Amino acid sequence: MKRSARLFTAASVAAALTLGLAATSSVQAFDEHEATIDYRQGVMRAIGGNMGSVAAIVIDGADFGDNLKIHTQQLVDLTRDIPSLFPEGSDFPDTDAREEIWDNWDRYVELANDSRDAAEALHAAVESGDESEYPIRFRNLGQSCQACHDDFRRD
Amino acid sequence: MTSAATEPVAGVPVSRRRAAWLPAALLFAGLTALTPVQAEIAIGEVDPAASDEERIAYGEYVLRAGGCVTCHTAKDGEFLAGGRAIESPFGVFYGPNITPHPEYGIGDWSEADFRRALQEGRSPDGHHYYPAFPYTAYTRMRDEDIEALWAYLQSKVEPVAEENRSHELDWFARFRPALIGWKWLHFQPGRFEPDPDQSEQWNRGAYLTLALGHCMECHSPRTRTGGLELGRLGAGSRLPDGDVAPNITPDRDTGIGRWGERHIARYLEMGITRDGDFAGGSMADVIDHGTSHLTSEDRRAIAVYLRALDPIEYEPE
Ligand code: HEC
Ligand code: HEC
Ligand code: HEC
Repeated sequence: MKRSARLFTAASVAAALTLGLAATSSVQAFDEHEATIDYRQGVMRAIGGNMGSVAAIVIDGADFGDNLKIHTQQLVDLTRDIPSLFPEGSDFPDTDAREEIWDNWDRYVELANDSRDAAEALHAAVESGDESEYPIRFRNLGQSCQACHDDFRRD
Repeated sequence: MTSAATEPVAGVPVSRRRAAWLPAALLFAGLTALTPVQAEIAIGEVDPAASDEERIAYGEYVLRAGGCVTCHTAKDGEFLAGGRAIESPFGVFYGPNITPHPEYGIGDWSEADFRRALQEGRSPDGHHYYPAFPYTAYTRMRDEDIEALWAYLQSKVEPVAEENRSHELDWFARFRPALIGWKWLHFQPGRFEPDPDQSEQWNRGAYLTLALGHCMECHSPRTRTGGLELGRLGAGSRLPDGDVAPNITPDRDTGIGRWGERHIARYLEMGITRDGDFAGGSMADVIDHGTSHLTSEDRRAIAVYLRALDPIEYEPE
């Protein structure tokens, strides 16, 4: 994947040199996708970081219960619109997103909504201090992440 | 077991080398999608003085620890009635019906038949099983665990009249007697031997990992003839479904050296990785149908055992 991306860039640059402006715009489109992909992978890692912190508190009893709300609020904010992170065609160059995403867009949106709803449910339990609900709601959220990764992410 | 796959292909000569080599890679059993999880059980080891009821409950626990449900229950199918497709480079295997139905399942087997299937990879009528059925690991199972599992299967599982689906294998892989060659090369029958120099917890973890959980079957590279590379157990492998089962030795760069016991135990409970990511592919099945049903002590024991492995620097391609 990396190598073909580099080749593609080299070819685009060569084309830009010989053909002028027409080709530069394709270089720009390419860079834009790269930035989109960097951005969404960053968001996903941030979601993962918050999940890791919540697990340390909820499952293993780390003494940061007061911060729980910060993490679940971020999970709600960051899962609010996952589909917008995946504009059509952003399955290239260096990404684990499968092209099936755009062939099964409705299903993809459904799975994204499941994660959003599960994040909201977890956050609601934390807001109301209902500790007995934390583990199960955390687990539900995790399963929603897994369901999407299973079908739409390359391993 | 009466599947068409037992028939040798007429007129096809199978040399000894080829015999050993070809069915070998069948072992690369990639596993597939999800099925609904049923019972919840939480008990540790069986007490020799246990009542029948306790033994049967423990048998169900062994079923979970052995990961039998994944391969023997089809997606949306009846519990343990078979039909689950298992990919391999040589075609598709279908897990058979292991409910106590006398005709379609294993209801008319004896306990000795059952033990021989798991510990020797042989059917009641004497033919050899493909190692897509990981008896290579189950041969290490303790007799009392097999007894409990048998008692559970015979008494608590609903018999289902579901005919076994024939494996869909390439012609050269259909010749079952060739499995003798493969077994001769790669199958070392024998029970698990506890290591007296190690703690009880380590030994329990080793037993769960090597005998019941058959973790190394997916997580180890294989030789050209499809056997486990014994010097690199746990160093990871690419499975036939395309997924990578990563290096689970404690190497810091290529393995899970940065994972503590609690990270491993938590992963086996709910699939969350050390980075807050979530397991996918066949490992999600292993967790959903198997390790999430174990006691936390048993998940810890597996973690202790994995942490104590020699770190191996290796990354599967
Ligand atoms: C609707 C689908 C979907 C949902 C829901 C989803 N993800 Fe993802 N996730 C993806 C895809 C696709 C990628 C690969 C993105 C890429 O490489 O461009 C990904 C990547 C990731 C990564 C790796 C990022 C990197 O490249 O370093 C992490 C970590 C992650 N997701 C965590 C989560 C967690 C935790 C949740 C649940 C709270 C979640 N995701 C929910 C689709 C999803
Ligand atoms: C990785 C998938 C897999 C797992 C895990 C697995 N099996 Fe199987 N099993 C198979 C396949 C495939 C066969 C058929 C092998 C053949 O036809 O040679 C089989 C065959 C059998 C048979 C013989 C059935 C017959 O009709 O001859 C029994 C009994 C059995 N398995 C029991 C179990 C038990 C008990 C467990 C758990 C301890 C288990 N299996 C775990 C895949 C699996
Ligand atoms: C059917 C094949 C299979 C079996 C059996 C299996 N695994 Fe896995 N395992 C995988 C795959 C595939 C992954 C990668 C999951 C992913 O990409 O999300 C994995 C991931 C893991 C990881 C996470 C490694 C990482 O770096 O993210 C651990 C730990 C693990 N397995 C432990 C075990 C243990 C312990 C057992 C036995 C109880 C086991 N596995 C049995 C296929 C298997």
